[in-house]
Amino acid sequence: MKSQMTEEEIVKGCQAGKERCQKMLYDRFSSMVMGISMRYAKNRDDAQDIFQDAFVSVFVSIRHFKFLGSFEGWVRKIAVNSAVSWYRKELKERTVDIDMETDVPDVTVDEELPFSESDLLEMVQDLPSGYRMVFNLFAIEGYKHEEIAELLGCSVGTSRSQYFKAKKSLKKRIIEKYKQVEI
Amino acid sequence: MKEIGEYFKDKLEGLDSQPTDLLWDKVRKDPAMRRFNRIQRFKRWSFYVGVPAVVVLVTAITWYYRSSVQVEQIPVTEKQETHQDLISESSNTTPSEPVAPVSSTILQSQEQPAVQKTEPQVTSQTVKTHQNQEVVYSEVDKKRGETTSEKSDILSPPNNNKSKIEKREKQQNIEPQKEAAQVKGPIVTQSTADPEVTFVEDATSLTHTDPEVADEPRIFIPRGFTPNYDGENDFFKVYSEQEIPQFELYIYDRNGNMLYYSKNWSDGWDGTYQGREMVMGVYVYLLKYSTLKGDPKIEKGTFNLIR
Repeated sequence: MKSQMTEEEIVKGCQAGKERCQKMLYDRFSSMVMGISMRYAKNRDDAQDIFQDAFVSVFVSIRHFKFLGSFEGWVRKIAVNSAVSWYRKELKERTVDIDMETDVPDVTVDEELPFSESDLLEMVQDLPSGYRMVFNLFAIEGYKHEEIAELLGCSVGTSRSQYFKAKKSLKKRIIEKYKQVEI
Repeated sequence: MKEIGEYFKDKLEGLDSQPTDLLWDKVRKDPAMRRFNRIQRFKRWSFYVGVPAVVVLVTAITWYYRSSVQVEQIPVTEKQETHQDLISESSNTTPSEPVAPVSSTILQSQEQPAVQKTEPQVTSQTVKTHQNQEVVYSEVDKKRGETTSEKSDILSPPNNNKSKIEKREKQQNIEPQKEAAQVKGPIVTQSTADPEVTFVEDATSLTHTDPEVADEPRIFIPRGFTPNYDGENDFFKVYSEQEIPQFELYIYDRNGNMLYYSKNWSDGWDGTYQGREMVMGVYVYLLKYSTLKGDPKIEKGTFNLIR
């Protein structure tokens, strides 16, 4: 058996439904997908749900992948979409505050702050679901507010205001955390 | 100072997190995954099994069909016609009585002699199979029936139109030259004592044998053949009304590769070599045999494989 298959060979194997190739693909991308899932979920259990959904839809939709553009980007997008649909499922049980805001003011922090990735991840996970989704999609994935509004099924204004509130909330947490660290 | 969104992006964009080992099992056993893998496995399996199966099936059918076509070529002869019939039918193409196809009839369908001109053009190019042949000929018969009502009482089942004409000529072998002149075509009939074997040839592809020499077997070597399984000229063979003594036939391609060898005078080459159909073109034969007195004879020449 070949020890080093190229990404294309692995993808083709997955398209043919070969479990050996699916395992290779899984090993290659699982930590990346788990990282994305963690950002969108409020805890590790939810992240695992998103993760599982994401990988299943990667394997099932892989036959539509036409080798245009990077495969990693494609997987990343599927993971984000899985997170969004997971959120929408969650949303049905909740109400979202709708408020209109046209402008999102900048909220700045000192970039030398001594926080680790896991500290920041914890802060993001602690955000309310709506804030967390918009913040992740806008700030980290780089989506536009129009796209986010369409994905989440809300208005563009809601997306903007949630983003602003998310930033304010994060800033507050950073300051709190910083004080704890200082003390 | 830095915008908080960018700050988080820098830190979290490339975030990797190791999932627990259990998750792979969960993904693997997900119902959607299992269904997908099952479908893909089935597709693979059907491909690996289906393609060879189709190939085997096609080969078997082809083989069966070829062998059945060869069986159908059994020569049948029995006919009673007059010279008048030939002359009249060359103009109005009236069927007389049913005649079965004769395998020993040679017709250069590429260059139709004049006697065929009044017939609807039915050549071996348009007729691929014996079955089709019958269909085409029955249409021909229908047309004839319209044109000639005075002979409508005569049974005219679908039969081989060309061979009929040739058989008529067979009857006329007492004066073949005259007949050829009458139909104004480049036809040469090599007549023999046995009326069952008759050759109609274009004048440009004359035989190599001299019918005047009595101590030699009268043989005819065609200048071409059409191995398309239509029952006519499907084999390159040496035609003779009697056994050819010490017969040996070699066939070569133009590069000198031997494609066929036979010691049986009634066998012929079907245009294949090691199972492959050879391309259209010129091939070379070498024929060894002996006269009735026992003198060895050698004939060499070329012939066309026409597809």
